Amino acid sequence: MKILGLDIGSRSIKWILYEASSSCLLEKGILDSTPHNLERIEEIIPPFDKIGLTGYGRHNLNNVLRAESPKIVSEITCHAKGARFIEPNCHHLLDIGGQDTKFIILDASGKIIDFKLNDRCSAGTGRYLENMAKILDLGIQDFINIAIRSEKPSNINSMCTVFAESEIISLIHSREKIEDISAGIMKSLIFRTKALIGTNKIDEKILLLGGLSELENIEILFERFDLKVKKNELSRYTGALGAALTLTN
Amino acid sequence: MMDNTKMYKSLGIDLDAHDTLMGALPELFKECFLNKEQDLKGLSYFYSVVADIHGARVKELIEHKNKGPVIGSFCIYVPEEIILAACGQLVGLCAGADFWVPYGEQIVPKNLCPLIKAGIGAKYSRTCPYFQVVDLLIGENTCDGKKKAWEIFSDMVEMYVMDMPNKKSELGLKLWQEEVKNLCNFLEKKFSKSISFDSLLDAIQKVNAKRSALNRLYETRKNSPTPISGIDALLVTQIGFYDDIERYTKMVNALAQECEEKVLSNFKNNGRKRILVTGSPMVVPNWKIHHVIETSGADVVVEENCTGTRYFKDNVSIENASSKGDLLKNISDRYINNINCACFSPNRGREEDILKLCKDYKCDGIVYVSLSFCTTYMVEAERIRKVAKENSIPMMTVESDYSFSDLGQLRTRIEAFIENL
Repeated sequence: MKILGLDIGSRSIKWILYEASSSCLLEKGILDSTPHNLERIEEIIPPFDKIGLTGYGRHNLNNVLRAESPKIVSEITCHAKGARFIEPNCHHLLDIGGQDTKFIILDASGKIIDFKLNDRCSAGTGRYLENMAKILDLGIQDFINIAIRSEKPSNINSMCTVFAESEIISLIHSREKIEDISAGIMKSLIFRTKALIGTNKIDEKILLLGGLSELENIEILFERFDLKVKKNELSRYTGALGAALTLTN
Repeated sequence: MMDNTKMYKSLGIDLDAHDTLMGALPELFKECFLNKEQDLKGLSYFYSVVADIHGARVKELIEHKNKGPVIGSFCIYVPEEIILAACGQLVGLCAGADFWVPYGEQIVPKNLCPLIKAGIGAKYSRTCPYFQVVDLLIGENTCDGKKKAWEIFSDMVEMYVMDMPNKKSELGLKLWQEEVKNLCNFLEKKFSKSISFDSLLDAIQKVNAKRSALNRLYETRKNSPTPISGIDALLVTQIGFYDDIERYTKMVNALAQECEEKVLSNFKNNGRKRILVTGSPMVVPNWKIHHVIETSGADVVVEENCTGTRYFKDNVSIENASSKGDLLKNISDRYINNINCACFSPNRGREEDILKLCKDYKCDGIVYVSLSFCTTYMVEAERIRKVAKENSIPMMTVESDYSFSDLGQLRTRIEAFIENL
């Protein structure tokens, strides 16, 4: 039986086609969350027998998707299931997505013990990073590569994305080095993430999920600010994979 | 029969703004209450009260002003018994609508709890007939935000402030007893009403009856499945803050009886998870969290907050009371000993209450709900989290205001919490 897991995120739509009988991943895909793509989602995704939905748009695809009653599950549960499948020995997950950051703790059996989400504010999410890179006139991968070169990361303290932008513009005007500003932006993101993680003791590398995990060298920057993370080539697809896995026993 | 527009004009209501406020309510009410299955006939009274929220009850209060004062409050520490004994009507002033927040933000800081911002906004915008009808507002020095809000209110409406201890010590109890006595003396003088032993006793019995009725209703929620949804129970409690006490008590008892019968009629367990909600107060029309929880597949079976068990959990004792002084002391003791508000330090009583409620109501998890910028409840969440962990009760913390901008986020978190219980 072919099961499709579809993760409708705020920035991108991911899917995984999973064969239940052989526990094999048959296909994966990704595209931007645009109105146009959402309209023709049925033409884009591969044929399936059953479908599981997760992500921000999980409740609103019924008018587009003519599938028989899709299973709808929150992305937190899906990430846990998907991560368990790709990295069974990882018990701490960090999903830095388009508009939110999630930290999930699993027990030895893969069950969620606790999870936290940023609330009230999107500073420190993937979207924040994208916007900041844009101000520096850099693509997101270039931004990471430049930040790695910094020896003296700038301080960016604003609680708010727009104010952080003003701060960065001030830094540009005061001729701070572009690599220091870039590293400062990463530092502020990682410090926010650490606030989310709180006092949880972690003696392993955290599995990084979400769009950020596709950036080369991102783990070096995390390590620099005392957060050890690792990535998996399927890191970005754990939500979609988990949505498919919720339909298996 | 006075028509509403004429009544609003007499109260100085800003009619256009009021129309905008009232325009949003039916849709919200439909979404939260009318789109679900409902088999309790006794709820129709409470639904009709909300449907006419700025109508019939306001008229009654205006008529009451010929007999005695209408007094507003924002907190369940303000003893209703004393107001009733002075021939008054106590109205818990709702400040649960997002509509009022921007008005409030013109006067007070943005990073203040929405309840205070909405309260000030409701008065300042002249769009709440309850705020317009009151002769006096009784404030209480609980949290910092409210303490300072009374000073702002005092420019718009007559204020009387009760002082509160921060600690439930001997000294704290004494302070509160004095404050209760002072309130009694103040009301007698201010409204030329003498409060006697008999009038106080009568008032105590009325409020005790109201509390007993709510207790009886809540008792039925201990059953699996609960005969009444959490959002409906919340609505019933919220209405208790401003409805006519005797009529309300009768209606709650009738509804409780119907719930008791429903339990006996042997309906099947639905397998839904049972949630305790605790934290800041939830005032009309703030039904947000209950709505999200209950449309995500779980039932809210009990609320440990000021619009839940703290409002009615214990009665004022009338045993061995032979003087007015005895009754006043019993009143002050009931309030200070039984309401475990986060403005106290330490506040161990609340931890015990939550654990007991979780056990009695067979709760699968706790959703700790704090209004944004509600410092006392946000900080106290850490202690409750520890206690919940020690007792292996899953808990999640939510911080939210009255707007609907975070509904997507909330739904994700609450669904995930329920999926993993």
